[in-house]
Amino acid sequence: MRALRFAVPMVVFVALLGFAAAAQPVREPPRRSETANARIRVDESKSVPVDRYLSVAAGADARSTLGLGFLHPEADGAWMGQLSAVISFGVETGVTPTAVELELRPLVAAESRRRLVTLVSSIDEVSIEMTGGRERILLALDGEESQRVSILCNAVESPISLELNPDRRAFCAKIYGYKVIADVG
Amino acid sequence: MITLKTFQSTGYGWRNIASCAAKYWIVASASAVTLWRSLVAGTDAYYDFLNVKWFMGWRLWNGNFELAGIASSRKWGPPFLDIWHAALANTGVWWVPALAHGAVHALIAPSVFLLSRAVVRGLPNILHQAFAAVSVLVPLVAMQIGTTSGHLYAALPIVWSLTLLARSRETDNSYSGQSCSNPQQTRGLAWAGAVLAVSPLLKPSALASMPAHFIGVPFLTGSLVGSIAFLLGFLAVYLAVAVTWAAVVALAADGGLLEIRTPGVPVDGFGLWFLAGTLVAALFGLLKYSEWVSFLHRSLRPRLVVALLTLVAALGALVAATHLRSAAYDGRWFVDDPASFVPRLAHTGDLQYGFNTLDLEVPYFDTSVPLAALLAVAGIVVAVGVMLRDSWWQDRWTAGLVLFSCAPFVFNVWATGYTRYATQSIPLIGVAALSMCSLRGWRPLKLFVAALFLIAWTLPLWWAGRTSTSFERFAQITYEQNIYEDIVNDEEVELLSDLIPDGSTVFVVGDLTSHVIPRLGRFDVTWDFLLPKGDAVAELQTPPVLLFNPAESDRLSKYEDQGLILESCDVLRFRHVSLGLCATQIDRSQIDRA
Repeated sequence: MRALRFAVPMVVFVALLGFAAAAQPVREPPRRSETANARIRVDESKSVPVDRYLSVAAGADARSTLGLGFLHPEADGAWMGQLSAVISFGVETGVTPTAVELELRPLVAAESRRRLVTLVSSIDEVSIEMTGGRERILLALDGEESQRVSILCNAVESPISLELNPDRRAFCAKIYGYKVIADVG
Repeated sequence: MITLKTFQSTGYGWRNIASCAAKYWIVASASAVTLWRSLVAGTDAYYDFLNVKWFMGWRLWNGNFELAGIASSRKWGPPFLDIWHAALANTGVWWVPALAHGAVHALIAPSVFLLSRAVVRGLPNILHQAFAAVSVLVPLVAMQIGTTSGHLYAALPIVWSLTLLARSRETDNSYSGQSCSNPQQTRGLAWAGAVLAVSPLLKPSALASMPAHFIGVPFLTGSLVGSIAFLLGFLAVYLAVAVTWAAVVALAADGGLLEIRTPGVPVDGFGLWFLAGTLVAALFGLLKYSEWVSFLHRSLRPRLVVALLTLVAALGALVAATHLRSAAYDGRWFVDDPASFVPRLAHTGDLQYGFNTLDLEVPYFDTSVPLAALLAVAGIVVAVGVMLRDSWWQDRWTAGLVLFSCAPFVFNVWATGYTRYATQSIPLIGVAALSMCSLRGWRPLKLFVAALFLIAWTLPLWWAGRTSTSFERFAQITYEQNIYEDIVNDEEVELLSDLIPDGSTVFVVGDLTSHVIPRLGRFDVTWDFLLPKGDAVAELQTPPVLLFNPAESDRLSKYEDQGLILESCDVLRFRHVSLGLCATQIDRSQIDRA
């Protein structure tokens, strides 16, 4: 019985280690065709419907269109974590996107409530001084099937530095979603 | 009544275990709740594990000691727990690590209960059970259940070490002062020290608190020889294992056995070998010649010896605290001046000015640290009494137990200010409190004080609406919901893998990116976390790939400065994490110009 005291935990431990060793993943490198297919899948995930509000929250399909500069989406939207960020999306062939309406909320202090945000597309640039709360901003698009919208901020700050909450990550604004406005030909 | 020897004498039969569980249902429930919490909380997404330790553990698991620029110095420290965590996480079955961590963490309550019953006499069984249960349910402990933070793993050897110390007391046939007069007890104390060494071997940051534990040891052993046996047991085992690991790293990675070093020990190379060898030899010498050495003990007055040893241990702790403060490993939570030291000891975790955490990354509500500080003061009072009055000598164990258990909290507030670093000692607080309540006195009053302490300690559990109720587990990257699947599932791993060509060199950029590498299981890829110089880029046969955190994409420009042209960048918004991937071309003309 005394030996059993040590034997049982040791057997469990060794069994678990054995299972862990056997379960370690080993993956073969991809073939060229697999890489090409993966690229297609990534591009397809950026295709969005038009004339409908698209949330970019965690779990929403349109989160795939959030490009460089955004943190991982949260339950209601995604924080922009640096001075510039990009949203890239595509629309179906035959659809002409003429504008996009983005819904944003800036991270601002309780006292100094100002954040300068600039939206840029290939044909338009809109600057707005946001003062807190959600706002929708309209930006013209060039009609191409593939679109890239840049968002520029004058500064990023952390909630703790603004004396809002203990979060130490740096944010500019949170994007909740957008609507692509299009002429359907 | 259950004792330490119950299981030894009656065995481990299912009937016996079921009978004990029925009789000691509070402790059994606490263990069950611990396991349940671990599983219900789902996949662990502990920031440090995802950021560094998973990759590090996976790399070492595969015998690769080149950490490619990610926390490279960590490889010298004992990484056993990181390897264990990585091996479990990499099975790709989310509940395997949750179950394994939960099962280990579930041992805390029964371990504390057995310790409590062994060291505290004359109090009702239900109090022992209640204190043992609470030791794992208070927020600072509960928030780490099922996580890879490692502190709860490190708590067990501390509890077991004290339990072994208690058993050595049982062999102390002259409790009034002639302790450590037999070889069996000396061996027991050395074993207790050896078991304590497992704590920092599992969780290296626990090493910082060890000097504070030692303050209580002279009272617990009551002798010079006993204290030396305990200390030698600790040092010899810690250094023997740590140096052996460092030797393996030196042979595998850096090539020279004289290049070894280990974190927290101020000597390296030959000096480290010499130190470890000397301590191991001294331990064996002490065990072999303990009867001869005990003559030394008999010729000294025990109280004087204990007083001097405690003074030495306290000075040692002070030196260690000063070193930790000057090294400033993590200065975020420092107590800046002595005036704010006492307020910090009384801190229960609420936000300062409504936005600022004082001693942890997250707000919480827990009374453990203030209560431990209070107990430490009480322990000092008892210790002084033991020193001054013969009639108090029988209370030396209480003084030692309280100092051993609670001094680390006071020490840690001053040395680092980071509450997490002392959380492995929280399960001992209840035993220390019960020990104080077992001192001579009117029994109803002692029971009242114990109940009062329990109420204060459990305050966060029943005073709802405070900050601690707003989060489930410590430092998780996803706070909003529990995850019952892998952080990155097989389909997502497959997609990522397909985007990384055969034999690529991948430069990994930014935080929270490395954890996906073990899941990929790609051994054809060279992973590198360092920013390459232009020369190194020029030597690459094929253009490298950049794997990055999309929220830190502005760091990519540094790679462009080194002669890389970013060709196409994709951001993969997986369910629980986001990753960026850039294909590149090498701009040889820019490198030549540079």
